[in-house]
Amino acid sequence: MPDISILNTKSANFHSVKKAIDLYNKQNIITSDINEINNSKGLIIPGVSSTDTVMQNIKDLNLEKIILDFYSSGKPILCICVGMQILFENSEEGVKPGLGIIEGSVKKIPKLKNKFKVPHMGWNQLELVKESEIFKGISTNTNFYFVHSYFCDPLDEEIIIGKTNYSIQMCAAIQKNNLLAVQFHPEKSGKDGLKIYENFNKMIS
Amino acid sequence: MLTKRIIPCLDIDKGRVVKGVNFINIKDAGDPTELAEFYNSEVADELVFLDITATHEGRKTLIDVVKKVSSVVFIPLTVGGGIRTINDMRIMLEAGADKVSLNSSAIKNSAIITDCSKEFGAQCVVSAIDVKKEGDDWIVYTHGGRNKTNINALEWVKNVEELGAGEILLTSMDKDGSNNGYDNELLEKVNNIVNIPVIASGGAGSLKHLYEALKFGKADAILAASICHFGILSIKEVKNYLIKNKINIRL
Repeated sequence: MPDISILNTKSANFHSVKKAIDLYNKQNIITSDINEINNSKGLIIPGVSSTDTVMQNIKDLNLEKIILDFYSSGKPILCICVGMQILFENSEEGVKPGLGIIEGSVKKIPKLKNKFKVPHMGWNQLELVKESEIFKGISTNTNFYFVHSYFCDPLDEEIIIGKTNYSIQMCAAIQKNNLLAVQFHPEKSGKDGLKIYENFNKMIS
Repeated sequence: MLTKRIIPCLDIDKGRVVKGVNFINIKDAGDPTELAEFYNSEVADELVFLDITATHEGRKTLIDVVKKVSSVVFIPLTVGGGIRTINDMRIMLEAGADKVSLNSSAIKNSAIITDCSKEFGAQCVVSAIDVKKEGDDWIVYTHGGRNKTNINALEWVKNVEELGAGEILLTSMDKDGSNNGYDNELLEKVNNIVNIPVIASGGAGSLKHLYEALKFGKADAILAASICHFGILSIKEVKNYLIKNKINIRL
């Protein structure tokens, strides 16, 4: 059985995520199989494309309960980009409700005076606002690679562990118990991004 | 603050880099993986691979290149050249590319932009546009600049944004290879029209030219081709210069 399951939601960049986690732990698998996921020590939910597409795929593949059960089990989960956004109750991007593990909604990045292009694409600084094992060895204001048009707005600000600034200051990373989520793409953020996978791998063992 | 990106472009012919860099610490300037690792160590913000063979065999070797590079270099990779269908694009993304650039195929059939954007997300779709100035207008060319169209570039950029492109790679054919600076007038006009990122290409001959394209052309990123390959400047030198001139850059 694998140590880490990378959730196959059919539409994500799980190949890049796999290549990154491979550097630290080869015992990982891209899967949507209940047994494999349940027997893993950690779960990664990657995300590219839209929240509606991902939520539809999660529904079609009967993954909703698996994710919720994994969260209840207390084992670490790392969600990336759209994988983070689907944790919320709803999103301005689509009509389908999210998983609702996190109270709050996902909102469109405001185009202030047309000065800020959407998507927010490129390297931006991550301000670390709370300590977390996932950021071990990473200093505040390190650059990470972002690509998104919507941002997460949790009701409970206490769960925000990282923020970034693009037209407004926005939530870029959260931790709620064993649930970790980042808006940027650590698998595309060079050595600092790989550190996040290295840390996650330490957290599961 | 979002930083401006410096993106080296590697021309790939039958799996080898042509026009490779001449830096002393590169053993094999034709090896795409070694060059990609080198640029990554120089803090390049992304990499672009341009397939200049675009033959069936060349394509297969390009897929291998993308697979290899994406296993060792963890920054965004864009692949372009000869991508014609959703399936072409899927193969590249599964090999490890993060974005695919569409050029001639999108002029022939603009629906491919929408199809790819719907299937994989707008962030994956880069619209590459080659233009030449004629009178007061800029005209779009295809097939590596060989074929002229009757399309006005300033209309086409708006069009590709509406069709679902997530980014524009804009090459000025007048400036390309001239070493006398980017077409900043064109860049500024395009940047005022579209609300997606624009990568400037063609014309860099000095550090000042890069600065001008970012500052006056308002480009979001710079495609660094020959200026870096021929060892005239390193990415580090470029970045240090831009930081000194108060451009937001990642180091």
